[in-house]
Amino acid sequence: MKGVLDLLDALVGGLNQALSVNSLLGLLLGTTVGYIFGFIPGLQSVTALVLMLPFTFGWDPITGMYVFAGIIGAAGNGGAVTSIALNMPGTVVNVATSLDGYPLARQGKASWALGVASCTSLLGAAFGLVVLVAVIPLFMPFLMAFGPAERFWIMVLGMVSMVVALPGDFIKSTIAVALGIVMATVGFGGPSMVYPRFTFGSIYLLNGLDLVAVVIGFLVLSEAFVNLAKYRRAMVMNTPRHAPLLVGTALERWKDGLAGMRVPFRYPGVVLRGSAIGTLIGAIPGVGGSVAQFFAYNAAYAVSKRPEEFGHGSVEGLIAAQAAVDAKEAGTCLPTFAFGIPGNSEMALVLAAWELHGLQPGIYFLRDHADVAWALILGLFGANILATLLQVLCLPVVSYIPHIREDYVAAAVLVFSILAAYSIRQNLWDVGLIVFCGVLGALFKGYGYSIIGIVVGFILGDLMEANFHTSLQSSLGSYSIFVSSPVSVFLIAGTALILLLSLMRWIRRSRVPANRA
Amino acid sequence: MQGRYRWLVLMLGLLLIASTLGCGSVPTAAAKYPTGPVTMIVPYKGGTNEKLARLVAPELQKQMGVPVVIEVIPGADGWNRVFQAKPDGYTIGVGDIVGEYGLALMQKMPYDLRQFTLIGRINAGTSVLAFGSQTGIKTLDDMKRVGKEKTLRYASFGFSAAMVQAVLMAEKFGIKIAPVSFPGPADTVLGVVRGDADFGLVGTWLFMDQITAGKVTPVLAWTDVPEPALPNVPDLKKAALLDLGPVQSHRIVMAPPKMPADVTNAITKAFRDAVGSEAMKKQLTDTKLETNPLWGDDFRKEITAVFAMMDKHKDTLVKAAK
Repeated sequence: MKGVLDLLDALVGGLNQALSVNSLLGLLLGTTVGYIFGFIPGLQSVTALVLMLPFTFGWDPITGMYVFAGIIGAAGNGGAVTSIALNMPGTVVNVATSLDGYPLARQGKASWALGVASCTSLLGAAFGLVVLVAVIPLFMPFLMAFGPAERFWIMVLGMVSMVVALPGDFIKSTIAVALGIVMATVGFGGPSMVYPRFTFGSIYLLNGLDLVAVVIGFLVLSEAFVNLAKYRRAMVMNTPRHAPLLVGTALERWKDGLAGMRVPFRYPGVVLRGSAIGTLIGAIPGVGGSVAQFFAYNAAYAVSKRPEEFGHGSVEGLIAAQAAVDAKEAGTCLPTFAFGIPGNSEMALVLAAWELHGLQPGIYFLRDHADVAWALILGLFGANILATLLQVLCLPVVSYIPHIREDYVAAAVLVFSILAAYSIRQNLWDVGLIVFCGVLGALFKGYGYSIIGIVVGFILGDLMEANFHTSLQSSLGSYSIFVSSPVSVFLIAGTALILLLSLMRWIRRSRVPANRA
Repeated sequence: MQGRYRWLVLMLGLLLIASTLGCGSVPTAAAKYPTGPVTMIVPYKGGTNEKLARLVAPELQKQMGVPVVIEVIPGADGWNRVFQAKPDGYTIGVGDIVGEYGLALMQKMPYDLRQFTLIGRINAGTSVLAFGSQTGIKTLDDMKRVGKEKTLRYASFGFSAAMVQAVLMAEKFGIKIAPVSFPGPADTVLGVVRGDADFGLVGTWLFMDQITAGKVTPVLAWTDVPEPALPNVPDLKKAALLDLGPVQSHRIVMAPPKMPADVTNAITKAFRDAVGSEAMKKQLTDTKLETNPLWGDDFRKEITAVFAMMDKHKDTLVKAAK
């Protein structure tokens, strides 16, 4: 009972602090920056956090936390806009949003889809906040249940889930994922990360291919190149552009968007399930949002009464993916508070900001620095509210984005992508890498291979290998570690079930030609 | 009209890119160093080295009278940038040289760490060796006894100073150890608490909460004198490991090879004054970082001794990493 009262006391204190002028200004700044960085393909929330980090040194830690929370909380909303409008996920965690969001935009429902995504983000964030507050005292047993072997199986499950979730040919999706895994092996690797692989004597490749460059190249630049090629072909062949339908006036599109915001309430099960999965996966350190969205998407597909719509504009698919995106942020706070282990790269920068102020994360962090912790927790939710308001206000404008000429969009995307790539480590090879990935991605798209598969294979492949080696080292070489815990067995069973479902889906699909990568 | 707009957009974009890539002025003839901004490269993203660099930079700026710009370029690329830069004092680096030297023993690197111009050490990390409570190991003697009977698993994070410490200590005590790799120091703490590894060697403050909660038991403080936060835990002297004392996480300042002596001295003085200032000492203490800088010849002597020790035990270190 005392614990509950202490928690409520802390919550009230946190709310009081959230309403101070500095906190609100910090939140507004962070939300605006985060939304813009999430919106522009190529820039990411991590880039915004890295830029802000030196400034936090001069601010008090509370204000700094509200700025950071604003960036993290709003980036997913901003990323959803370009995911839906342009099929260019603004952030890596918005990849699954494009699977059904973009087809909706092609059908002239961009505004409506954005309304659905905005409201779902807010609901997901609210769910995450409630779970976070409720679960914090109970989190340690959960954290203890997930060791390297369990994390390895989570990655495998995530990989398989993603292959199932991707539209198109199952074999091609698997090949794409495999290519991503191979790309992840470049650089130092092996059991203690001391063996250079596929570096060809290059210093640049010793640290592996940069994640941001690969993501921008495959997800963003490839789409820009494909659109440019389509536009060029239409010009040469003198055929009309197949631009998405532009329906109605600005006011009508705005009303459409508001109507879309009511839709998630008609799918409470999808929202709750996607949010729960997002929070749960976010809470496992080192797994991250790129897995959560596909788990949620696949779970929605598995129970949907209209599975054939997935990949072609399913509102359930859009809601499931977007709910997970925002719910997982609250989940990532848990290992960050409890152990100082960042739940994802954004939390790594939050930790860096804490350390600059001499705040040591650990099991007593919530007790000793409750004000900073609550600043982050409430800031994440507040950012979602502000970002949703911002999105609603901008609906008539953002819903026009799919209709902008492809060559204009491509030029802008190319410039921002190159700037983002160079800003990683001021290395021109990174610029070359994103162009290479962009060209390769465009070719892959042309032949029906999933570039989303490549990206997620790249992200998860690295983590999977690291956890595999750690598990074997922990067991001094015994493979029994992979089947020795109930959690591992459960995850293996889940993987087997999803493989079975995917085989059945492939058999079904092989009877109907797939024409979307 | 449409064609003109397209070219305009393209030209504007190229101009934007060119202006960005061309940013960063290069000082021309330097009458008295420094006359322009100094770039401090940190080859580690996040973590203590970046934190230190960001703490030191404002003080250094005051001492030098020019902007000090931090560039985080992780890994070998970062070290190589410093190595290849002109030895004019306008590009320096901050990094952990012991871990990097260990990696160089494993793999041929494009730069020779011994050729860097070594300016000094901002601080050296103190660490504590702690066992998970589930192991039942509570003292150094317990560790020696159990370690002779079976292989003890130690939590490591890449080829770091902590790994070198663990391997050399095990060799000296004649105990068997095997590494369990984790992404970072905080993950090693979780690994030890969970039982994925038997012990870890990380910064004192990372283990403190777990020590207080009884989840881990410290058996050795890797310091020459008793660790104030853990007065009852044996130090290197009590453990008869004083000769391994120099093997620490030395967060050093380095510059390109063959830097002129006057520039080296100017940078050394600036860092010495910056890190030694009261404001800096307070900041380091507040952020729970050590205040044990070392400069000039004293520092170079210590690092040379560490390199020699690691060279002597090269086979052991390489075998341990594999």
